[in-house]
Amino acid sequence: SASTSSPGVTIPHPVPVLSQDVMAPVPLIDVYVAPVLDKKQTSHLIKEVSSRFPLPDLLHLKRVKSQKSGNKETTIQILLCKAPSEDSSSPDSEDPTENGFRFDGLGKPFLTKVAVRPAITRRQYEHCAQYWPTAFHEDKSLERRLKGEFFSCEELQSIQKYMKRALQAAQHAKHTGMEPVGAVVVDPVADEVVGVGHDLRHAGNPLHHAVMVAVDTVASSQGGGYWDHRGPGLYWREEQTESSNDDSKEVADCSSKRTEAGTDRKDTKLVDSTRTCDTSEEGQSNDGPYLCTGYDLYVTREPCIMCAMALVHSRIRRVFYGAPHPNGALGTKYSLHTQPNINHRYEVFKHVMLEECSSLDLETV
Amino acid sequence: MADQGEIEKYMYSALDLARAALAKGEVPVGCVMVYQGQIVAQGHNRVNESKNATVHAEMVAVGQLLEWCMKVGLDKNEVLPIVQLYVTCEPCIMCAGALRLLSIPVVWYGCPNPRFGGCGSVLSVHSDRLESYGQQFKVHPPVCVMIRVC
Ligand SMILES: [Zn+2]
Ligand SMILES: [Zn+2]
Repeated sequence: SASTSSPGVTIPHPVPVLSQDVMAPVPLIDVYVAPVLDKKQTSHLIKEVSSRFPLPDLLHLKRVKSQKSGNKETTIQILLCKAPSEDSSSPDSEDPTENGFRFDGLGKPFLTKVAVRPAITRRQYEHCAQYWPTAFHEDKSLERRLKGEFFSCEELQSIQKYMKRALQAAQHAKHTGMEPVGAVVVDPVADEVVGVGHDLRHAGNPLHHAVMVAVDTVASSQGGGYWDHRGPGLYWREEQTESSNDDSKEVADCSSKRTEAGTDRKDTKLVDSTRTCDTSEEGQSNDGPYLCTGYDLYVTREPCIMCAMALVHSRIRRVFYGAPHPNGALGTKYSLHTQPNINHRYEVFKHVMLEECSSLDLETV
Repeated sequence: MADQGEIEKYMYSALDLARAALAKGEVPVGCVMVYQGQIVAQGHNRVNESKNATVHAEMVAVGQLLEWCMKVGLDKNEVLPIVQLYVTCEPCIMCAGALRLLSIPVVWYGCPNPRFGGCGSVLSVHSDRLESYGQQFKVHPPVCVMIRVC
């Protein structure tokens, strides 16, 4: 889906990267159902069957399915129980045909398929409903994301503007013999860039992927920073007067800017580094600075697992990436931002300026 | 391959670094990198100092190792595949990815990291099948002496 920014120009809507639970069809399982022989008995039978086979895992399913086929009478089927399967022996699964199943008013049980859990999206619902009636509560916000109707025109233009900046950084990397990946960290409230990085893995440290570099430049902007990332194309605060096309202004004098950083209102979010950390936390937990809290990242290539986790540690708010990557950790090989047992989640959108970002990896002719 | 005595020795060095981190107000994690029986690089968590939540002990040690290689004139691509890493806590998912990228073959860790562990606790980045993402590496089960620290 797309949105017009000006007559004749459409900006494609970024594609949300959601968990498999949301994107894939709901898995189906086998159950036993039985036809109702006398429709007048239906509500009585529902009570009896529900008490005999409670089915606590399948509460999203209606107990009864009415089917009208052609000119024939409507038939009614009642859901009985889960069919026994090799990998699970749950208490509510059994084969009712085994022990001479007898229920007045019900015909012979037979197998059919149903959704194992509730549908989350409308598309999932429409698929599940073909098998057996199920409850569905639409998540309107989610549906808008899926339909590509989530961002306004202004927002789409802003997204494109920042991805262009990341592309610029990636181009710079390419021209200097670096891996062509650019990353830009943005404060969406102030609508300004707070860090720009490009890949430096070929400059000595194989871990200096664009995201890692950008994150450190943001730290620099707050009076910190660990790695000595300096040089053209990398910086953490854009001059207001700076033209983004002017390469000669890109060399940042990090030392003079550190004093300016002290006036940055972001300082109020920084943790006093002299405070004793919580030693009851296991591993390297983040009582320290969540330096990208509330910030968005624009990166031309899907981050790898190292970078994706670096963004968890930094508490990034949203990630917009251009081209997917075979090793990518935000939708391709992993979906780290939707990993259930990690305490920080961020939203991810892909295919932002997909063509331009994909062409970065092509050899220059 | 280091023997039990050496393993403990390196772990105690890592533990000292973890204590130093704690004294500086950092989350106490320390690690050392061993090359041909010598500790050639080490590090502890510097997240608060650098205001960068990604500057974990392993990352610091890696930086030191690369500097050491340059200093002594060794090719990092020949050193890394035979370096051993000893760290007080299971590497997080980020650091596990980093260690793969560097082709570090083996890691000993003191205690598991149920919150962010990337070597079995939350994910198993060390052993996952990933094409062109460095090398899988071996991890050794927790060294008992570390449990009380973590
Ligand atoms: Zn990366
Ligand atoms: Zn780590």
